[in-house]
Amino acid sequence: MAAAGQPCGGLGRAVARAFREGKPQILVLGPLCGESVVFLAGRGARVHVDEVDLPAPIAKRQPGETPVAPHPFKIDQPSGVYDLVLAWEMFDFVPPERLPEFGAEIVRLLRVGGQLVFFAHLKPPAPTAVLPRYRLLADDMIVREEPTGVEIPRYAHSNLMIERAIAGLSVQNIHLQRNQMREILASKAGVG
Amino acid sequence: MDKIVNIGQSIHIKGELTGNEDLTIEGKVEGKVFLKDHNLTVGANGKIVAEVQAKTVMVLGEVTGNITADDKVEVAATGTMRGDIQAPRVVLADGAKFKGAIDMDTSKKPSMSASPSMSAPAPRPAMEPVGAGAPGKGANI
Repeated sequence: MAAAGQPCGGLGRAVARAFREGKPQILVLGPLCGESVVFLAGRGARVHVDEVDLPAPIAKRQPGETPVAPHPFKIDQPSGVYDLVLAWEMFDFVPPERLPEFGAEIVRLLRVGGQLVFFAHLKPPAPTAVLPRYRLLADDMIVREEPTGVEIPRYAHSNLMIERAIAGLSVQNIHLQRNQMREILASKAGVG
Repeated sequence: MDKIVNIGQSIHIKGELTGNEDLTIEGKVEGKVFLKDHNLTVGANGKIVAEVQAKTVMVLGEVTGNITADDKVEVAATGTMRGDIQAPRVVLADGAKFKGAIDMDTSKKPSMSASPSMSAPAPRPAMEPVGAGAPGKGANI
């Protein structure tokens, strides 16, 4: 049975705006959903795909133990080129102490006026989950799918924590969906 | 029926590979692969580090490098692809490993980018099931 689509107004607006300016550069993060990538590329976008290894939590230091600096989080993509970054649910799987680092990397990728769309649970239904993938049925319609795989910890980040993590972007819209998922649309401050 | 040439698992080729027939690579190829008007299959054991140009490209194994196809590129669930794809039709199976960019906007057809409507989605690009069709009999290199 085909899964019912979930409307996402913010995503629809972001996609429409990205296509308004010709051939957009779109970066899709997270588990590959080939259909979504082909959907956007078929509309005329150049779609980049990067699964990205999420930053690991910083281990708690024992008394007397020398601090070990965590491996810096880096997304292997150029700075300031993307019109739209789709991060889906990735923020939910970033430990709170690494959230600013993760957010800053995404902000780095966007061009001025570029947009970021992602989803974040207000109250995660379980402390662990498999990183889901999102199937685009239309600009403003998605299906969330949980592929089989290893469950990893997920976290609930407040709006304030998220806004601080993506400093440099202005949050355009936070829409709380029926399933307690926030759909967040932000754009890089500047012209646009 | 066109003969399909196989590059077997134990073969390792470095350099430029050109041809006028369909080719299946099960071995290793480094360099360039040009098969104008013909189909390339990178088999499940195939590993290529190359710039690829062909009519259609099917990736069941590993490809590192950019692919340009006149017709279609398909990356199966077993496939791993690192590089950019340019083709009018692309199929990426869920579960495939892919890092790179996809551009389906070829100069042969008008751009579909001027469709900003939220409520009326653009026509879906061609999507086909992955893994259909078995390779035909052919000669081994």
